Amino acid sequence: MLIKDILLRQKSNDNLAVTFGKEKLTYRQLFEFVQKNADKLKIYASNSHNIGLLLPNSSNYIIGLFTILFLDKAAVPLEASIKKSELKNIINYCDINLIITDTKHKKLLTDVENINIFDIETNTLEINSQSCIKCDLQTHFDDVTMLMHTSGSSDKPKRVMLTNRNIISNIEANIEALNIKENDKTLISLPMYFSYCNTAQLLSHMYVGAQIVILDTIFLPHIFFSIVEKEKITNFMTVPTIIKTLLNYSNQKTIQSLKWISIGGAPIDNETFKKLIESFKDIEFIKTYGLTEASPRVSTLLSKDCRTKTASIGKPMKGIEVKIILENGNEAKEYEKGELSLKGDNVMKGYYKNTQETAKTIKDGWLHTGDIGYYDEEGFIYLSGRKKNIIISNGINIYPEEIEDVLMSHHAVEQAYVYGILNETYGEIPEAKIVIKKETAISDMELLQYCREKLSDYKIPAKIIFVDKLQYTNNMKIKRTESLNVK
Amino acid sequence: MLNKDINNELKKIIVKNSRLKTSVANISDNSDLINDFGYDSVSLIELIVNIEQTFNITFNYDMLSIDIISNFKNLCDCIKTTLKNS
Repeated sequence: MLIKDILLRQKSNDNLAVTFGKEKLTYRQLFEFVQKNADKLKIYASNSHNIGLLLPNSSNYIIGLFTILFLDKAAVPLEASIKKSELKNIINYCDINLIITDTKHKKLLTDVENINIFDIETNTLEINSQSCIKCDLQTHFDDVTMLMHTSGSSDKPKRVMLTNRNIISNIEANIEALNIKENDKTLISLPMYFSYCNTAQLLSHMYVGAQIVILDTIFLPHIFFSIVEKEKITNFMTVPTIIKTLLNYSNQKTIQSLKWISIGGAPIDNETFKKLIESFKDIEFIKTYGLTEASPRVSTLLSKDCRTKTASIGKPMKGIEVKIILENGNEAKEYEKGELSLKGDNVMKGYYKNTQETAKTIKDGWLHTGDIGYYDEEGFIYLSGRKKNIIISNGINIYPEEIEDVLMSHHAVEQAYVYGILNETYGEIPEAKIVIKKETAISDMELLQYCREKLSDYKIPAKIIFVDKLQYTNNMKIKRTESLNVK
Repeated sequence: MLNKDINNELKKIIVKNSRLKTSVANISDNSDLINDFGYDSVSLIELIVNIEQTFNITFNYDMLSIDIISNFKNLCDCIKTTLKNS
């Protein structure tokens, strides 16, 4: 089965598939829109290795995604709040010759040359590239079907190659673990380009022919409760940052339809998790763990275990083998801490055009997650730290080197060091230490403004601290010693 | 509460909840919280919760579109209307 078959096999299904504001589409209607687009774009898609998808959360996002899959190309989902320079880098790096977008986001492409643009809103195609190169089609189970965002610096982005096998296996295991059924109705508020939302929520629900409601406004607790009640939502998936805001509204009347809420994307602290369980007794909470490189879901802590194993991230899903590897390369025993590694059909093919990073991450078929953890006598897994140099803010991975590259590109900056600090709202946020060049002067606000022109907002350091010098290791790399301090 | 006090109090709350460093002096009637101060969906939620607690009000959520929340003057007017009706 290929991912496109999720929709193909439902082409005659007249059940409601997606609700986005006042717009409602059945599976049959979704199929018809997708087929029409695919027919129109067929000639132009053939000369694009991969196809970009630059759309905010909407039913058009789903139509755009499946259009790319129907064209037998790999989709490159892009965040809608991306900055021009970031977009240009990704388009070049990911060999994108065709992009599906809307009228608003098309403006971001004004400086990009040789790219064909399909405006899904107006159904118009702008031809800017006459390339005649014929690129391969991705028609097999083990062909790459999505290049998902993870992290990386601007000159070396890390795009995760996921095949049909990777994603389908993860969808099937996820459906079984969460018991997702055709009569379920899920509410999407997470960014759909986010691997967690893409596989675990959007595609998992479409796979069983369930209904999807896409939040068409900002997430606010009252709006959430009102939509859940109005639409009779049965489940919701979110990140710790968002779920915490619901705690202030735990006196809301019981909503009968809402069976469970799944929390993932970033670690949730035990205290908040316990409070949620106590505050919303009629809702089951499920904790999940995953990473884009694993398609993404790895383990689930089901509600039946939440009270006794609160700190755990649960047990691996079906078909996923997990082991803890010690520093010396040996496999850990119970309670011994080491790097969490996993094997299964969900493990990515690799990083796009980055064999070096792929070799560092997948060894002998085992995906090394960069997360440190252990397991107990019953096989429940616990996380205790992180080996990899990333900042996880509101469930999104941020690569400090990318921010450092931008800071270093400023004429007044001599050295830059970016690290994560703990933040009650976001989990972690980036902060920067800067050494400025002699005989130059710049304020933190000027430097932040410079970052804002070049980086998505969530990557902009919350604070810039000017220092006289940074600490370096013997081989002249920045000594990344900054611990996560609560802020 | 005087209109001037509401404005000043709101400015303080905006500075407090902004993920990016800013100051009260940078906020004007036309300020756009998203484009000028890096507010996102998460910090906007925090902002609304904080406003409700500070002014002891509950917004009518039908009033709170993204255009209202993200513009300083609109948000200020929304607080004034809610205070008036409470």
